[in-house]
Amino acid sequence: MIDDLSILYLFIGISFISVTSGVIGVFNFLQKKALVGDAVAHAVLPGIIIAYLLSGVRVSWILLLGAVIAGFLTLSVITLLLKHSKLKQDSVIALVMISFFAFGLSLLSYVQLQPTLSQAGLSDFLFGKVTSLTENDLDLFIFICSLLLIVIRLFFKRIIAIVFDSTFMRFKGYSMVKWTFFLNLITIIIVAIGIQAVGVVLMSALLILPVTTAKQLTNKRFNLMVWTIFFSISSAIIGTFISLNSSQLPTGPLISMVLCCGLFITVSLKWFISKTQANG
Amino acid sequence: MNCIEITNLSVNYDNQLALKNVNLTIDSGQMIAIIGQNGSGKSTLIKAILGLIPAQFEKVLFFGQQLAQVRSQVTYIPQRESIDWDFPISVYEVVEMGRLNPNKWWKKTGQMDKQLIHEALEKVGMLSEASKQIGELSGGQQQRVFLARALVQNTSLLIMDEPFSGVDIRSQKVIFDVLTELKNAGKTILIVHHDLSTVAAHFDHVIVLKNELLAFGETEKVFQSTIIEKAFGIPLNLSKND
Repeated sequence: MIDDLSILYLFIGISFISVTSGVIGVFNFLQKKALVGDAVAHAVLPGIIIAYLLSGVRVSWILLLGAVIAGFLTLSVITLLLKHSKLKQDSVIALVMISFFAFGLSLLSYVQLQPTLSQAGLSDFLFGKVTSLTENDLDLFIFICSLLLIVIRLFFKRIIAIVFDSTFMRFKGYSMVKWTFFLNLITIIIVAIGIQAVGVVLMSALLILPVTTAKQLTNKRFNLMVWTIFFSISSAIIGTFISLNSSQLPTGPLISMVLCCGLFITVSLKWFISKTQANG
Repeated sequence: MNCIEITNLSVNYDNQLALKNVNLTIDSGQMIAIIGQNGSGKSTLIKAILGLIPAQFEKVLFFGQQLAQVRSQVTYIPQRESIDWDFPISVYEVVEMGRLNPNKWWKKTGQMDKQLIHEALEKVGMLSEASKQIGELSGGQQQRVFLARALVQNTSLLIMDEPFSGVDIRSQKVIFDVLTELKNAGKTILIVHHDLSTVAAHFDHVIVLKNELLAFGETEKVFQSTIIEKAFGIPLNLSKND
């Protein structure tokens, strides 16, 4: 009985994380910054490991803090390089992502080699392992996700307006510095949470794939959100279900594969329908 | 009353002087065209006075005050080229943007806002398209929607950057009709304009730029071959035979 309840709670927690990622992914996608979330996800790995090394305990909020700090560092370095070097945006993102991730991997290998440290199972952060999440983790994550969703609901029209036409909104007196910070902050927080469930490597799937699939189906603001949330929840539940029922398969790749299937089916259906309409 | 007062405004772009020492005083209740070649600083001038790009100046005042104090009295329609037309936003939602207020972030759009949006859409003839995605409209219709977004702000000064580029004849007429109505109600309209053939018919005053202020004044005095030739480098036929 207790087992069933905690598994139900796990599904709820994963759904919250997935929906929040999907919703925040909408803003990244519409800003044409799909890769930024990916860069942040990879780059927070060293932050998490350093936070663990400094504190000596694997406690969610401490690791979360490390991840958030690393996330901001990543975005600051990206912004600085874009401003002061002649490199293009995609090169800068790749460069920063690779260097931070490589550093993180080196730290991870070091931790794995220490008998006293290797018990923490930090390698779960690479591909994600939902079963490693404790009930306390889930409490914290559901709380933060709810908070993020409420704030987003409150500002939704303004965020969309700013992403759509920043010149006009800037003219109206909206501070782009503040709003960019806000959008970065929510991305970093959800990445820091999400990687504990699906891992750094595939975190961006949770951000980008639901909205990409939804965009195939609709061009209306409200419907886009509904479809995004639908794809987020269903992939999270199916992916986690398969992961729990197979002893070894990690959650991140499974959820990502479900999302990819959804996108593939949607694109094929759309192509098929347009083809039959053209012929009919 | 002075609507806009500019003293010694200069703008540098990548160490190049885009605008040099512009001094202008614009009265209220007029429709004014800013003309000049590409790169003559037309858009730069309005972006600079609106604080959207860095500029050096002694004074830029709207209704005798800093822009921040009278922001609710000024509206701006940017160029359309920077817009992502595939964006999931409807005509109604675009116009609704005009009712968002940065100082009242908690406020939802209420009944009065809805009424204003409805009226503005009706005025520009876009009410029947309200639920369409913005990219489904023609260029002219899109521009009418952006005009409606400006109308719902109910401001005394309207600044537009190339509102007629890529706009069909019918939309152009609708837009000019609405603007004339606004002018007759005492509002001031400042437009970056590229179509010289419509200047004489629609504008009271003209500002001619060539990285500095070449001329400013009533249309019949300023809009003359000698000045236009100086601004554009080629003689232009200003008669309205096309």
